[in-house]
Amino acid sequence: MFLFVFLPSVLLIYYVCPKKFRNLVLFVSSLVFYAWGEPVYIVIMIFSTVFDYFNGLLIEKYRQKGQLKKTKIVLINSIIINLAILFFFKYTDFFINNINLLLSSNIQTLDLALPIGISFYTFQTMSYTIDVYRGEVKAQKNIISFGAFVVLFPQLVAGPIVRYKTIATQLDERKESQEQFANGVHRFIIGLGKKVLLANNIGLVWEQISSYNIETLSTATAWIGAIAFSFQIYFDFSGYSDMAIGLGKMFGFNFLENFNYPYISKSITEFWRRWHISLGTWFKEYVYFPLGGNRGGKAKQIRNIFIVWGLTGFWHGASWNFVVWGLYFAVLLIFEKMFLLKYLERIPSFFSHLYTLIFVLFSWVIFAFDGFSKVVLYFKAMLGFNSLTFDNASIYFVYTNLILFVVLAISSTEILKNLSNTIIEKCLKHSALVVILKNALYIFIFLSSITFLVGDSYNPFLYFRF
Amino acid sequence: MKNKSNLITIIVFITLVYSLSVLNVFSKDKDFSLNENRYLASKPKVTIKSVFDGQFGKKFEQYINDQFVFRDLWMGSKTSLQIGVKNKDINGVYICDNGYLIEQHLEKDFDNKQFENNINYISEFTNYCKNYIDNKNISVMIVPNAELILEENLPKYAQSFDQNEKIDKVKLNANDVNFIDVRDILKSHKDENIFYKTDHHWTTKGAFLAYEEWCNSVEKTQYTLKRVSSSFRGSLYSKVLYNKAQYDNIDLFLDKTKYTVTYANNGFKSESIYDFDKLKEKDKYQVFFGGNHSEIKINTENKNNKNLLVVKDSFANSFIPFIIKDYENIYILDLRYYKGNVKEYFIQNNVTDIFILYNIINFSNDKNISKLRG
Repeated sequence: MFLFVFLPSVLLIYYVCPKKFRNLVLFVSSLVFYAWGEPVYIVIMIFSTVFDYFNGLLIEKYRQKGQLKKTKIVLINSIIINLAILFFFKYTDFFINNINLLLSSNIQTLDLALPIGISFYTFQTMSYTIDVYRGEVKAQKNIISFGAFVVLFPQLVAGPIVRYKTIATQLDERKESQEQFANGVHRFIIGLGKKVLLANNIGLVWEQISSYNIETLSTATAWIGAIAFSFQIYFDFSGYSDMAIGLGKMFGFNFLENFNYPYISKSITEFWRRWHISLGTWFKEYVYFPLGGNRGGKAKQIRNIFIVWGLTGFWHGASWNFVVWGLYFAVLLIFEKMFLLKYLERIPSFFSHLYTLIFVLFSWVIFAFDGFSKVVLYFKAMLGFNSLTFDNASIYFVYTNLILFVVLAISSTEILKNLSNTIIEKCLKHSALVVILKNALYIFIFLSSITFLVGDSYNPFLYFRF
Repeated sequence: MKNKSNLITIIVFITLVYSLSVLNVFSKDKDFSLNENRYLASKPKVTIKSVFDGQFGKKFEQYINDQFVFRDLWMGSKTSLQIGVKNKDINGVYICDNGYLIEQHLEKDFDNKQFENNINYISEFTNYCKNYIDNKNISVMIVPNAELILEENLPKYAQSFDQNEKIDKVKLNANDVNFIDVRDILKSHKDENIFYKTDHHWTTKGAFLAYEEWCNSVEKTQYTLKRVSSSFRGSLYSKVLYNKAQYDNIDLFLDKTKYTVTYANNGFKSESIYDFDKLKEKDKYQVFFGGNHSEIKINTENKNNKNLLVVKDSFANSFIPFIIKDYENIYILDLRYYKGNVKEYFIQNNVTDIFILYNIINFSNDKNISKLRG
């Protein structure tokens, strides 16, 4: 649908229009894209755009006049309103439920549907006003350009969180080029393949295993399930990011990378430098550093880490298990900062890889389940508290998905990238053969993905809680 | 070279996307997918309401997906790719080595609550009928799936729910009536094509074995089957569109007894329960009665005053041919479509015998069995 109606239309209009109207094309088409699934909530997005557009201008105006106090008021106002929108739609029911539980009161929940992408675009607009306040970027004078930044459809539903300052100049003066477009096509196809061919298919394994009775799950099946979910979330999420980056390139944008082979990390610290980079950076720049970061002593740093990771977890969804998931990482990161990193660097890298992967695997179990009791049961299953070590199901899942697992494992590492680079650079240069082979491979991935999109009803969207 | 490479990429991508888009716009919409045996989504109408509540967007997406050009080709290619990477179950169908397609049913697909309820509805109904007829004249048959009977054909270590346990449960609850357990007889003939290779139904042969079990081998019937089709690809084929799938034969039991069939919903009468026109269509299993109907009456030349009421799903369609000669009247109700009161129906038609036949999957998931309550 997106691929064969929306994208071709937008590309056509975009490149037919003269340069000065191109942001308008992006702005309007993104609104259409969003309205497709969320016709009513488009109002919030437009409000957010207009509101922060004026906030940016105001901050700049007051600063030029030297009224620093007023700039601060505008900024705080902007942050409060943005967070209020986010809280109202995303967290109100969570708090009502918890208050009800605590006071055994009976307040009605709102049961609002969460506007898709709200966590992403509110964070983007906040980054804008903060950066303008800090004087790191100039305020955007053109409301259409600013609107295009806020609602840009490639990254609207599942990120990455693009900070304004990283594309400020591109918004007004970008030069689309053949090379960039071609790279964008490749990137998009890679992302599509990751999502449709890899993530969705391994997702079926996880879906099946998580539907079993956890208390009778065999240890092996529990591990296969957790591994399957780890692969699913990585290839799904990074697939979306690749598609967003690829689409961005087709329209002349260069977004920053969002994933950098996280599963090859040798520590949790490194993992979070490679996983969902745009979110990590956002929290570092706008929460961790303002809180004082690592200045001000050990105790303060530990406090800051807890705050940042609690919030990071909470950002992923209005549920306690996401908070616990965040704090779980906070604890690991603090241990690593205090002493663990030193050891991890000394031991053979096999063990530091293993350590990282196992802790990441367990973190996804916390992430995957809605209720906490299920997480505990699943941990028990993984740790061998259930009666069976392995059963027919484990053997079946492994041997019918063996090729998929191998492809997933290899694709999680840099092996393929390095291999193709070596072949291209050393052996063949840019000979015609390489060009043909490379394009044939991309066409194959693209067509295969379409077969799965057309022939399959299973296409889960994992970020409806973000 | 680098520039050329980029250009090639762009041209190929643009050509692919745009040609498929244009083809999608100009290809004629189909109402019905013969291969998938279902109606396809049609272009949704734009209304202010549907646009604002998001329904239009959703329906449009379904429409594009259903009407995608060469849809069958894409689906078939997907199956080939999955088989290429050694997947053994595709869209809920096990691809078995000997050419069999067998539907996958996992514990989670099984509605235990509905199952328990249905057992109760059956006992409540048969208890009511016992006030009027002998309990030996009430028969219940729950047909197992190929998943159980042909379990040796399934891929190694394949998962399926415990059918035996479920059937045992029905059997236990039906101990005061004549429960016909067909598992052993089917098992002992498992290599004789008693299930279709590409359809979830049993074959006429399978139904005949069940019939013999019902007769308790008192009188072995002479029977000959006539092959009417050897190019049947059924419901399971439709789910996977696997181009290497085999073709099934359809054999029919042709009875010498004379009878008239009446389809109550449209008053159509016929001298044969077979609708041979359906053999030209995709779903050739509809040759039996032309498909499922809410209410069918069969009046035979055998004036023995025995009137049979059959409550059934589609598995009975190939079974009924064998019992026509044994009754004067046969009343067949399919509760999925029948809207009347079954108990009243039972009284009004002077029913002397009752036969309830369901496949275990339909039996566990069908919400309409509650209609037996009255």
